Amino acid sequence: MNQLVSEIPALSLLVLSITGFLVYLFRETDRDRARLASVIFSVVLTSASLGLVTWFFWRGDDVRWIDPWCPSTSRPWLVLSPLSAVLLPFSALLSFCVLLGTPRRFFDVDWARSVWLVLLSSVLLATGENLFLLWIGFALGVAPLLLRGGEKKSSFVARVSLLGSTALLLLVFSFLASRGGGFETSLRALAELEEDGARDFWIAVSLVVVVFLRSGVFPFHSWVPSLTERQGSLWISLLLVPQAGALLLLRVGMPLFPESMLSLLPFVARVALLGTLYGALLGLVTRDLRRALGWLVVSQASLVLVGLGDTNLEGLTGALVLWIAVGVSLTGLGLAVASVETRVGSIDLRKYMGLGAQAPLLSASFLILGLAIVGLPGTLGFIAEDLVVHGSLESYPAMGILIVLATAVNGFSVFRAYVSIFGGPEQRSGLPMDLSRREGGALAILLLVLLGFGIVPRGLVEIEGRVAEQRMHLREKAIADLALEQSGALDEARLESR
Amino acid sequence: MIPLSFPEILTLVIVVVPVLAMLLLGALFVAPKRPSERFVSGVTTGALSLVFLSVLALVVDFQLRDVDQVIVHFGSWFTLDDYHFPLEFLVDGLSLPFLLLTVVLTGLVARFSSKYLHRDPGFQRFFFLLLLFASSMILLVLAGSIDLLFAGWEMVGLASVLLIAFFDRRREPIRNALRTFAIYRWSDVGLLAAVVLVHHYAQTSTFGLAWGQEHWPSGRPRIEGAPVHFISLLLLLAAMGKSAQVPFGGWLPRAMEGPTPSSAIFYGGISIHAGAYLLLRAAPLIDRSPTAKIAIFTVGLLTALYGTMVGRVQSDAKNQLAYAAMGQVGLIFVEIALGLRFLALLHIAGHASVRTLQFLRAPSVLQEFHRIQAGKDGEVGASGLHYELLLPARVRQALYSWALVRGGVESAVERYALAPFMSAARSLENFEQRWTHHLDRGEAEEPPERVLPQPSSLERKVES
Repeated sequence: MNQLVSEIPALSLLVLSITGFLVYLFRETDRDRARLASVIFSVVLTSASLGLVTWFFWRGDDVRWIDPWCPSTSRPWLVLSPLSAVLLPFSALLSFCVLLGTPRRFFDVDWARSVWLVLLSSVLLATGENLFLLWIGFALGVAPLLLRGGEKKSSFVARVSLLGSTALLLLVFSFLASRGGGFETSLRALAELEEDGARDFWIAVSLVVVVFLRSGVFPFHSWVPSLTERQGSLWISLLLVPQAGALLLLRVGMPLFPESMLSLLPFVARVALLGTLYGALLGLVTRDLRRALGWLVVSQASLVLVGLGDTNLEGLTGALVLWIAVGVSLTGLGLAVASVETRVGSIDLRKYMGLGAQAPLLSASFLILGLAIVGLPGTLGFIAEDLVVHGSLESYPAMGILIVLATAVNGFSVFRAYVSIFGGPEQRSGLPMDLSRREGGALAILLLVLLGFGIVPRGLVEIEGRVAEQRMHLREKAIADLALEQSGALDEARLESR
Repeated sequence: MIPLSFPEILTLVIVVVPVLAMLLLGALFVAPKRPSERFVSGVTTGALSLVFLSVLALVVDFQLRDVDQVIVHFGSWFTLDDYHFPLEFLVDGLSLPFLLLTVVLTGLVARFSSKYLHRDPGFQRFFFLLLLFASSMILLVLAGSIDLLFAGWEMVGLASVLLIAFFDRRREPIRNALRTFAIYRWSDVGLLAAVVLVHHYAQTSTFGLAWGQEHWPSGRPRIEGAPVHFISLLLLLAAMGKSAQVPFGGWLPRAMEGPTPSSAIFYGGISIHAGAYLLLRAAPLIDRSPTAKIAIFTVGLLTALYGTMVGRVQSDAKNQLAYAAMGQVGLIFVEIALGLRFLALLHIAGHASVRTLQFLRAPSVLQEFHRIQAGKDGEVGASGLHYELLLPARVRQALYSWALVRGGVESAVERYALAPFMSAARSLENFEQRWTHHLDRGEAEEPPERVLPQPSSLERKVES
């Protein structure tokens, strides 16, 4: 892939503007002012990122744009690639929807700060080409836990898991930086180094552990339902939707350890599949809506990793598309659940709340968002599931059937939650129960994205396909290198035996 | 832009018009003023009438041009290297009659419903869901690829379940909708797995190429060997769920909770035959699998017997019709297994029409009986001899008891198939809750409640 220095320092400006806005927010104390400013700024940011991305793809997507404000173009700090070009506008849009749609009861200045910290984290993880920036991005993504925005109860298990993953990543990056004998932090330079056998393999293994921890994949999954139960469904959009773990795997693991990944990725896929099934099964029996949502997240986030572990183009592309679909759907579902809780309090799935007649828009939004996660035709989830299942069946045939089973179970859990909240005898309260204009606006945007790309998926699938192709080239090159090494070793052995 | 041919235009109209009508009704949910019943039913019947005329025009076109099939290709929905999702519609000797049946019955039910559901608060919602069903069923029937068929299949299931839960102020319809959804999802696993395997082994998903179909039902499938049996059995699994075949038929009487017109069109008329349609569409593949044919025959025969016996002891008119429909579809499966495809198609058409009428008339059957009774001075004679009278009394008694509990099929499935998984899941969830609650700091709170087994449906009835 070609690299060129872009004409405008768009990425640097993006990072600096978000940082600047965060500085303002840390000084702001009024929540309404904070929300208004956040919404306006996020509209500007979303529009700017959409403009940037449109320009990027119009110029041709077989290039990477180096930000001109980087000190060195051979060791760039921020780079726009096809992968980050897709993620940036989605991240900005999701942040906008969360800032707009969060019910008043859950919104305070800490919450606004958390959303912007996570957006900055996503930008750095998607575009950072330097281990420092990547680690800072990763750490910023976890920082909201320290702010304790939203609910007063906090999840100790989530804090330990995520802070632990951040500390472990620092250790991994330290070993990684000292890989070539010196101290190198540029991803580009590190990618050019050859893998050094066992040492690099164990660094790759440690990186995979960080990915599992951060993504809430089995057996490091328990923090996810604990988080949603104690701190609320909105935290999904902060800590899980950005898929920090998956980004690390794609941007650091696969390019820097292609040979180790040949053996690790199948392992990742199998363990993630276990997580998919485990989350689906437990979501079926839990009685608390927040925990049910947490298990759904465990299951679907694991499914993204299953796809990333595939050894073919469909599976990998499906994972990237699923990333977007699940992110949009989970954000919407988190907002919908928060809206429901604002109106009726906590939800016991054994009972029927009867909200359907009073909140038809909320009801319809919940159903479509929930079923979109599990592949409702006409939504982006259907496209993603189609690709992931096909890909998994090509790579690991038995797994494909199990993915289908897990998705079916998740679909049932979603429907169970839907009928529990919106079915049953009506309990009139006299208060307006349906979505407010603000909440409705946020959900409408998310639904539009899901349905729009679900009906016209071609462009997104092609772009993600090209990203997947690049990763496949790395894999093919690693296989070829390994074959050469082995044939070289074989020749040596033959010579010695003669 | 390449101009579309006449059949292509008609196909586009047939597929798109119900979708547009559905979207219009959906959009009107957010309008400040609710549309009138006349408008809603007018949009629905208007759309279905237009589709009906288009279907008739297609039939005439077929006759005039003397063609067996028309493949309408609208490119690919998306493409990835060698993989592509084709947007292809197939109009042939199977899809055209089924399409005609679907449109006619749905249109008649829509017309009936405009009076039957007059002043019902869910009037608009009903017609929206009816159009969702019509759009999905048209997609399923006209699908030229197994991918597209799957998309239609899923949406038909969703429409069905939402209509079962139509009277969602009561708990029973919701529970029954949930149970139906669970069975649908389980059977959808079979269809999705079959979709993927067809892609893998045939390297295509279009029926024309995968089945080597020249004109239905003949064809030379690209798939050979063990995958033929496996895929055929997976398709059978999917068909069993949608067509309420034993042991997946427990949802059918529960589905009677929905409005009578939806019971008519779904479980008497069209949706219940979707499984049979799937098997007919896969005829060239099933022909190569004696295993699948034996399985289809066995399932169909068992269901026919089961539906007949259990239907005899039902005290509710709609339930009786439900089991009768189940039994008839079982016979259709037998016909398919024996290779009598045109007979099966004819059977579907006749059965769907008669059963739809019976369902629509079911609410007034008691009134009619009382009128007959009054006309005969209170004495209504026996309806006729039944074959059961040939059996000894003890055997009849045993069969009666067996039929009353529906053969214990549902409870057996719950006890032996579901209960172990649910029990394991509950144990794991209790463990997860306990250890995370133990570690989580924060405000003092009570220890988590254990997740207990849910009472069975019988226990819930006893409690209520």
